[in-house]
Amino acid sequence: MNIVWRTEGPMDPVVRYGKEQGTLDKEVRGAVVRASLGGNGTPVLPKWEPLRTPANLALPKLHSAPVGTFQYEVKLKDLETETTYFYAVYNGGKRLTEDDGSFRFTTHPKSGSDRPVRFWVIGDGGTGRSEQAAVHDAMRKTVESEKHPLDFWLHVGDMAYTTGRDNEFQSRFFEMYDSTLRNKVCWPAMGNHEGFNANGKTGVGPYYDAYVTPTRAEAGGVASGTEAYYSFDYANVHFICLDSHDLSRKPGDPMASWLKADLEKAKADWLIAFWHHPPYTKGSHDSDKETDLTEMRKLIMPICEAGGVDVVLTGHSHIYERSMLMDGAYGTPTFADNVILDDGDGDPDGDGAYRKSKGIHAHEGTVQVVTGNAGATLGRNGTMPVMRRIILEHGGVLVDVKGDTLTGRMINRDGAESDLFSVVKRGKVTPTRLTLPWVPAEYKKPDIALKGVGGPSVDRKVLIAPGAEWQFTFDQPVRGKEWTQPVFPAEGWKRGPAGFGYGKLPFRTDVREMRRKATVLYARSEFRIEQVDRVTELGLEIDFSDAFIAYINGNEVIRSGVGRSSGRNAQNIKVREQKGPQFFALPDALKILKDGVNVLSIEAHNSSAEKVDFLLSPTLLLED
Amino acid sequence: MRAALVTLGVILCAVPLFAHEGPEGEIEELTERMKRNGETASLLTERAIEYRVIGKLPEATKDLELALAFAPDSIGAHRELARVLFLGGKANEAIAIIVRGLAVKTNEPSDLASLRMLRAEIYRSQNENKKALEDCDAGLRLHKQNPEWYLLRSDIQKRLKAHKERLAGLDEGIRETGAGVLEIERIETQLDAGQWNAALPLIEAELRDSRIKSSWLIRRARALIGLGKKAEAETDLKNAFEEIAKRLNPKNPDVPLLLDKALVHELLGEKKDALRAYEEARDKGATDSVNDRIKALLETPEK
Repeated sequence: MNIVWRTEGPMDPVVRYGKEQGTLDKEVRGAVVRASLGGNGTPVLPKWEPLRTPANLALPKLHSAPVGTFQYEVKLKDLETETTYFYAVYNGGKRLTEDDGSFRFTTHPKSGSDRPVRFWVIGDGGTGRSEQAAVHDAMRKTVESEKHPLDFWLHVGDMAYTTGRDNEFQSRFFEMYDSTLRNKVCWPAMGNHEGFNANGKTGVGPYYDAYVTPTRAEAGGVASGTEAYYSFDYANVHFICLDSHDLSRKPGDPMASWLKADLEKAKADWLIAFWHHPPYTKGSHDSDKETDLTEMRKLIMPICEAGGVDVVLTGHSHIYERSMLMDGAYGTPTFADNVILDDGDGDPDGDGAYRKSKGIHAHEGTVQVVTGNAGATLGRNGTMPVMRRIILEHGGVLVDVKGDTLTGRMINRDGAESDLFSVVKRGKVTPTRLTLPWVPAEYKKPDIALKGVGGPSVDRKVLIAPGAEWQFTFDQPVRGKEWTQPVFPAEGWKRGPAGFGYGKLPFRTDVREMRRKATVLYARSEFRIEQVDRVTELGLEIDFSDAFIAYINGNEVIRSGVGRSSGRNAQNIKVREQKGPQFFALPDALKILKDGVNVLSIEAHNSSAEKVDFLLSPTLLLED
Repeated sequence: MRAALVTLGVILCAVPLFAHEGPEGEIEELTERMKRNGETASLLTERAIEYRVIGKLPEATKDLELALAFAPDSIGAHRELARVLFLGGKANEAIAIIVRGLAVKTNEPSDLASLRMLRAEIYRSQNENKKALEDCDAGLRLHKQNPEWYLLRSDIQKRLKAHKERLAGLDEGIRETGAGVLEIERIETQLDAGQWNAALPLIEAELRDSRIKSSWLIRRARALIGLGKKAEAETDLKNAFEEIAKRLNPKNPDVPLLLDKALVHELLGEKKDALRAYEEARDKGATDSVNDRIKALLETPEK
């Protein structure tokens, strides 16, 4: 643990610390590590002249700090893990810090240990304005009311507008977050505004003066050898910080090579990466137009996702944007099709948490969080189609990791929860890419082409007859796609023969209770195939009103009248004008059939809960 | 912790400074400010950086030239201008700017080092490897804490086949920075230099410690091939291939994995597959060194 502070003029640096507030029984003498005494030939006030000794002038320079500033660092070693220590800074025998219990820190838990982790993430806050203070206060009040303090916090850059000079750091960062900085470690990523006066290649500038970050794997991970990018472990989470501002992002160049090496070694349960420039945004910046952002997407994200990264936290764009569970979106411009693995809202009480397999696995999905909303004026240029939440509010993100569940909440400047998402890593999950996922409302929808519509097969066998019995529901909560899988408990679901419907005509299973309550009916039915390799064609003959999506063994095989997404998130439901059954050939289904029991699942949509009729009457046919 | 010093205390920045809408917005604001208050080297440099971000290199060049006219001693502006010129394919003009920058007197040796290393990169791109090496050595004498620069020097020494010096240089880098990528590069150097027995135990240790093993399996295979143990090497390569196949995104594969896949094919003597993977990696943004691999493969006779 490093304690860093500054004084005007030199002092005799001592840090005392101990496990009890009143018993600081250990002492470490510090050393001045940097000083600002003006350059050769620079005029300084007479009071500083005596300090311009060869030894002091040989100290590393504090960049753009007022002349007379001295910076001290003390490294406290041999601390116990997961232990709170109180500390005080002394000038020789004179105590400088208050004795109010706020000067304390808690050491990291053992790497890999399974204990809850809480951290706060902010970006683009360093304005010194009331919004910045409000966001900080909102976080403090939230953790206080929940009686669950932070373990540490992450800053994803732009902490000292406008050019990251020393005085900007002082008034817009250190003084703004004073009460949190003295007892919670801030892990930083350099923003472009700090980058005006700091250089990632040399590690020189006010940003690098302000922080001590691990270069030799002091906190876990692979040694980066530089403060510009680094990694650390906290319990069962591995964090990776990159410099997206002024270092090459090319695979084969050092930062990307280090990232690859670090991911190869990472064995934590969770992998979280953070940096400044977002790979996906249409906030105040546009990731389809700006090189820094496009390159993070094209060159860095593939390495992250092949390494199993779960969450990416960024800023730069003055907005809050949070993605769906996604993978493989490296192109420009960014489209949502085929890169979304779960297009739900990720809310455990909404569409359900995003699901991934236990452990770390490549390409099972990443959640992108752009949180450049901690103080700078908000802005939006468009709609990024992979985003599930786009919120123009000042705030920060509180993240909790507990066992197999990670939960992120955007706490706005008023302390309200503006977004909530969870990722659960449990069991084995096979990711499926959604061809037409949900997209945010502003997105211009592509024309919907119906796939596989053709004439009925000639020599056919009936696999699921018109009046066959199905399990169905319209009033049980249905989240995600688990209900389409071959094994699903369907607890609370009803049973009844097809067709299902309400309106003027009689139906085998009347579902008039649906009206005004629900627009989606979920149904599943098993069928047997003895020898899959003999099947040459599968088809669905179906009468329906208004739209449906069909799945076989968990895989979508056909949809009609549903524009995007599925279930309660389905968009652009078209009213079906045509009457009578329609035949759909299912050529893609042949690859997913198996010998023995298979499952056909159908979600049938009504264009409106107010509509006076509804119908679902399916028949599954086979040619062999 | 709050520092106990007197700050400058004056917040000069008005609200619009935080209200930008991307680089275009920043450029607009900076232009407005310069219209209102006059041009300064600092504002021109800020605007040039924004121009570079959106690929407007001529505009960035113009601003930086003007910034240098205002502040001829700004090494940062020299470096940024040289970088923009190099990005725009004007390597010789970039070198000329660096020469001017190196003549500036400064108390910050790292500034001069960064100019040297940028020139080394430019020389490397021109295949002037000896000149590039001279700059690297000079730059690393001025500033020893950047692992990236040791890797740059190692790459140049590799091109010059100076493996002994390469190992010594990497040892220095490891001492100075502790960077993991330098440790890896050192093992690569041992393999390039044919020091199979020295490399093998280090590779074994890395294999034991890694969650993802394919890169290390490939390195072990290289050592085993060097030691004449082809069957064992083939097993490693097949295991590496299997792991790579599981991790490759079929639609959007990542470059490091593609490079590893290409190397597996190359070591197995599957030239066409290796070429295909190298070319795909190149098209997806691999560094220029992939072109050397492609060229070398094309010159290799078919087995």
